[in-house]
Amino acid sequence: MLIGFSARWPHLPVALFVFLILPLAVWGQLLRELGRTTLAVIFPFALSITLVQGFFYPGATHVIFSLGPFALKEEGLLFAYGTLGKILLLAGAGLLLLFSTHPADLILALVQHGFPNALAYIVVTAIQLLPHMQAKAMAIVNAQRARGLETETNLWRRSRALLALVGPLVFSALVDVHERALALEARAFSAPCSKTSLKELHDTREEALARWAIIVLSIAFIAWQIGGL
Amino acid sequence: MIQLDHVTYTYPQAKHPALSDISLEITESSLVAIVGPSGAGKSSLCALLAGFIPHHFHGILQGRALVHGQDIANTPLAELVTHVGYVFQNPFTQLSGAKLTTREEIAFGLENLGVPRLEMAERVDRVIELFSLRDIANRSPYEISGGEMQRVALASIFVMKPRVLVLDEPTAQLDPLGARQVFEAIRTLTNTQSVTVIIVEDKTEWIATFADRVITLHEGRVVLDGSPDAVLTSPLLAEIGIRVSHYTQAARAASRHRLWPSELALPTTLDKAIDGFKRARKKYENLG
Repeated sequence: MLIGFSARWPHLPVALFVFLILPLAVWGQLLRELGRTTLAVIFPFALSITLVQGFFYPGATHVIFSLGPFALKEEGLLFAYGTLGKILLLAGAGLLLLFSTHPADLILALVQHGFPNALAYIVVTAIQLLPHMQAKAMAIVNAQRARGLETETNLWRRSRALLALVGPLVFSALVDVHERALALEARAFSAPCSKTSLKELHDTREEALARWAIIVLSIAFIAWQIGGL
Repeated sequence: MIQLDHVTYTYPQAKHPALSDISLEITESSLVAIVGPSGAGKSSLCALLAGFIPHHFHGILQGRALVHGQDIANTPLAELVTHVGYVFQNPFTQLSGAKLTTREEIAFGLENLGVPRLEMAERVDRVIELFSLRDIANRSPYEISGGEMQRVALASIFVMKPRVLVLDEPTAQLDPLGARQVFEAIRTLTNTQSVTVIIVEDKTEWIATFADRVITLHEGRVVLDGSPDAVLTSPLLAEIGIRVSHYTQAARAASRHRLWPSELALPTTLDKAIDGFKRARKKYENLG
């Protein structure tokens, strides 16, 4: 991502996505998942950036075609292409990490490299418990609907219904958080000792070398870009 | 093992104490059931024994509470949890939320205590066997039934080797099958391990079968304390709103009509009720 973002050649982010991210996704058997999600993320950006930059890029002169008072210009499209390439690379790399590495494993690796345990716990539980919180929210919505609350009507009634939904949701979330805090205490979460782990992360020599290579390459590329200015 | 000496506790901003002048002793390896109506102070007593009072719930604590000779008020919570384990009502909120498998979930407490990996693996595997969790050991803790989840919660605490286990209505949110699984797990513990179990429970038949002692709380005070047979047949229970077992109720009604043998105490379990009614029938057959 660093290389893609610091490159002056506008095609590099797209090239990195096509020749690095996609092959990695194929290797990890994640191509379909990654492709579908990346498209879903990218499409709204692509549409808005292309239209806005294509028609309204400041100072652009090369008109490709005109539509009444509006003119699509080459400079704007090139700028949109460059920006979209970076967003594509950012989304692709992020989603590849998300699909290939479970948050719990990622956090474990971070903790083993000195990341604070409590902070890691907050991050991983926020990700893991989100679907359960959604299920709970849905249960509250259904319970309120069963008691006559209209949630699929006009905006005014829906906004009034929101109050009846938010109250129980927030209250039950607070109760859950309190009980979870006690449950964590009961399991020695705040014990003042260095934590260990049942799970052993296998960090192979090749993986460590690849990580170092990425860091060195990124630094070298950025230095080259800055030096070449 | 556990000694409470004139303990009174009032929650912050509360007008009345949740626990009033409680004095009791609980010996090692016993199973003590705590019963009482809503608001009697059962959960507060559990929270005190686990050290949540006064370390988490600040308030006014008077008297002395000792676990293993250590004063609860002066012992850090992180140290107390290695002596006293606590299992909550809701199995869901007890899951750490940070683990992928049930096996890893059980190890969470040991990880926090810094137990070396090899020892941790041995202890976790032993507990998995003890609680018959082998089939779900590699499944997500969120994809198992409520009863299994509560057994995992129990195993997750027991693996930390506490000498006292406090269970606050562990079957309250479970279906009958889930409740039975949890009761069997507790029975396994008390039969095979030297651990003191203090359980808040309203299933009186189960208490009558397995508890060594029953303590009844009402408005923060101990109103009854004795053997299950003595406490669970006391007329006071119904007066303070505690559900009495159907067997006791049936025998009490029969007794009013002289259909229950006067020499027999009121039953608390199905077996005792059958035995009593058989004897009553025999008596009337002989009379006839």
